[in-house]
Amino acid sequence: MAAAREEILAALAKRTMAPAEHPGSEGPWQSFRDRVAIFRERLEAAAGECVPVADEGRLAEAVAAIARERSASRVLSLVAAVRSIGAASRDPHDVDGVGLAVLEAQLGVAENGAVWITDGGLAPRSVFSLPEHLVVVLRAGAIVDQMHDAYARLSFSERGFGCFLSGPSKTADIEQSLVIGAHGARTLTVLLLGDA
Amino acid sequence: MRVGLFVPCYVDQLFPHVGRATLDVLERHGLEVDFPRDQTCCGQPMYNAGFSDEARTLARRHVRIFREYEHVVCPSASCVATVRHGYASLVPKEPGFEDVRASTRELCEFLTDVLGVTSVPGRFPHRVGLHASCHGVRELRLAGASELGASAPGARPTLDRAHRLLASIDGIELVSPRRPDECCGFGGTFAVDEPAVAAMMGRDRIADHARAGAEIVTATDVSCLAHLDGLMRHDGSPLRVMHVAEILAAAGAEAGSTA
Amino acid sequence: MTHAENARAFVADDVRAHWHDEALWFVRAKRDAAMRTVPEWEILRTRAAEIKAHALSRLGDYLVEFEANATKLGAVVHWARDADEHNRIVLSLLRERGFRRVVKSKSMLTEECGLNPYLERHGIEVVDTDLGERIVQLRREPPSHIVLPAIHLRKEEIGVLFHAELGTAAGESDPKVLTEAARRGLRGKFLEAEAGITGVNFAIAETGGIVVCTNEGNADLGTSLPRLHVACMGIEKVIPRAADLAVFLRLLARSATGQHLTTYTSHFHGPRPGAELHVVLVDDGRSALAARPAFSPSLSCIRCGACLNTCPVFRRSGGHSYETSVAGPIGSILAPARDPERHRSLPLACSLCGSCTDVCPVRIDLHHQLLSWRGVLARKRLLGDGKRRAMQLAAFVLARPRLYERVARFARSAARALPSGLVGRLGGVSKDRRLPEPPGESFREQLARRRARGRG
Repeated sequence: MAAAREEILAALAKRTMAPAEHPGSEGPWQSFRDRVAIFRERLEAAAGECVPVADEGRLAEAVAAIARERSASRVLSLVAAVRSIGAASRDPHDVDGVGLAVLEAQLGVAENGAVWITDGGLAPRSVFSLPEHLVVVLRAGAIVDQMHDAYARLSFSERGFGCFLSGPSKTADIEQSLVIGAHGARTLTVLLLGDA
Repeated sequence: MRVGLFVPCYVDQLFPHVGRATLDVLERHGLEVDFPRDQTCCGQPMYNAGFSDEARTLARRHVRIFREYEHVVCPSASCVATVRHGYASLVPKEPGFEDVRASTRELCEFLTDVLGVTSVPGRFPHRVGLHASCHGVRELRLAGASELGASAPGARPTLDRAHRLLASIDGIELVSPRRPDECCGFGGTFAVDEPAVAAMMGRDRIADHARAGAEIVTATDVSCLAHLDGLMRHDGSPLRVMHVAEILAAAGAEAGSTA
Repeated sequence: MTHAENARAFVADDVRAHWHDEALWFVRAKRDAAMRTVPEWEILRTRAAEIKAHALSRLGDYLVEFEANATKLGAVVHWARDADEHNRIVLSLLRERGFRRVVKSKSMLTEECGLNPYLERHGIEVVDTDLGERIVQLRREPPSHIVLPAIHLRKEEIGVLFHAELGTAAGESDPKVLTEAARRGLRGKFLEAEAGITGVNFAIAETGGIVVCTNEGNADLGTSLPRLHVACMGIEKVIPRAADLAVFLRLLARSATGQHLTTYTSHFHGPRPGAELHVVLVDDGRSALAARPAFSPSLSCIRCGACLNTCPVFRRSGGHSYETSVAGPIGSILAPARDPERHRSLPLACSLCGSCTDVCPVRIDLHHQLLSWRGVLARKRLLGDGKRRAMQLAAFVLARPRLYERVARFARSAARALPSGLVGRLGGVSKDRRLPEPPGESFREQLARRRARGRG
């Protein structure tokens, strides 16, 4: 194996590709007058839903309504203001059977309706993909215009997992016909705080 | 203004009426047009098939023959593309190569960009579909390609030379096919190497123009039109083909006769 | 078989060929619409090309930087010179742990390496979990498209397959019902899996992380349940910085499917607690390609599939006609680099329309590279003696204007005299179109006569 590494690196060291500068990150990147509206539009285009919630006090109520609507009896919440129903262990397999997971997003991206979520060590990583339904809490003020601004705010200095999630799991692998809920969440609702 | 007329070999031999129409259009603009009789072929067929050595011989001749002209005009975007882009790799050191590269233009490009023609007098009361030839669109950027973003050079549809000239003719109705710039499937040796796909591509273009209501399909390239025409005649299609130069010449002739 | 032979068979089913063409044109149209929402699209393409050119010009350095940072985060990095070494590394990771049940998310690299059949031969159960990949796996055929593996199949055919394999009702072909059946079947596989294998869309040198993009969430399920995650990547996938992801991710999904972003764009930095992450870096001809300036830009490819969707030939010949793991324009550049003789027909499966080059998010000059391949094949004498002699003869005649005039005059009169069918066959053109009727006089002859009259 060491031989493979040295051979590959030696072959690359002999390569003749012309030197080229890195162009940097600055650019005339898109910005929006109304980020929240664009975020909402693009999230809906990705088959997600956006529900404005006036303040943190109303979160539990909003989640309960969604859980009822989705007939989710087990609720796994990583958000302090919302209580879990039916405990989960640290085993990632135990997330199977969770009807609704409530996650908190660090930021949202207007241009694509995505939210950035990390595992933060709070729950098994399967919480992003195994539950039937997802609710993501996002502050309206945490929506950035585009991905350049998003990455400018993210840090990857530590071990961990992070994901841009845009809408629920989906596939169009059969005749280009869009089906929601391929393997992961069947619905994704963003509760938008501070935009009511 | 002395203009060298560059008539591609297959136009010379098989479609002389297109050469004549091109000459008519240029002479109607009061130009002194020269046809250097030593010209044969720019080398495109060999170049596009991968035979650079054979193409180089012809490219060198072509540069020598046309380097004395201030302007060189050609009724074929793909031949112009070979001179403008292909020659850089074939004959970069040939004296006059840069001059010929700069002076050679497709007919519509010459009319709009050099002569500043914005409208064509005359009448052509027909429904016409403009087939955007790939080399005109994607090599010469004479029109915006449908797949390019707004920030690309040449992406604005207003830059479509042939379309602008045709649209200015009285009585003409330009129809809009669903796929504005898909390849006709000719592609030089492609039509020989891949006859089945080439024929399907051509038939799809014809069907698209027919659905859009065209009577005539036109283009800046005779090669695309010859391919489409071969399929139209085989299938008994009511459509027919005319090169852009023929339409400009026909409209101009009418304007001349009524003036 | 040559591409042309395979394509002829594909085109012969006119209804299906047109359906395939429309299905992919629909994807191209979605791509166009998504592209138009980004005013700086062309600037992004340039930026992506520049970052890739930079990364490839210092590929060795970035691989070493990636390895060091990934190792710091607790991942284990392996190096493989070729497909066989890659396969052996993956198998030994499984064997060392006594694992036999593997779920896999989409990876073109493992297709290239033939990992599935290799593992199966050694007693490992490998389940492809991307729906399209699962479909072609159950059919025991390769994917026909790098992004849409089952795009060549009608839903009725998938219905028949799922009826036989998954027990769906006979005659059921609703994509919703079929997808649900696959979901149910694969849930069990995910929960039982001992290892998850994924591809890698981007590896970040600066952070040691990897990014995997899926719409279904199958890579996330496949890596969050089992204790072993093996990520397989070509060495060209490494990019310098996390901030570069903004450029590539803005382009990737829009180019691929017309989405603004893939649904799950997952960033793995080190293994999850209690689990292992192994990254296999595979060369398999890439360092050799990097040393060929005419073709090295093809290493910038981010596998979005846009060049396939816009290619008028791909849409009308289907992915299987290319007989490679990556089909379409980009595949027609990569495949001859491995085996020019075997894949010599691929650079000819191109009308040089240039649309692939225009859609490519990293500005690979695809059609010019295909043209360059024709030159290489011509020099290697792999284009056939007939074509070579015809081109040499034509060039000889065309370099001599008097001879050209005489030969052309003779050919025109001969063509006028002979039946058109025979002329077509001599010209190498198929019988389903007509050749032009040669005129009595060439343009130059007409002009000479007219000008002589004018003077006289």
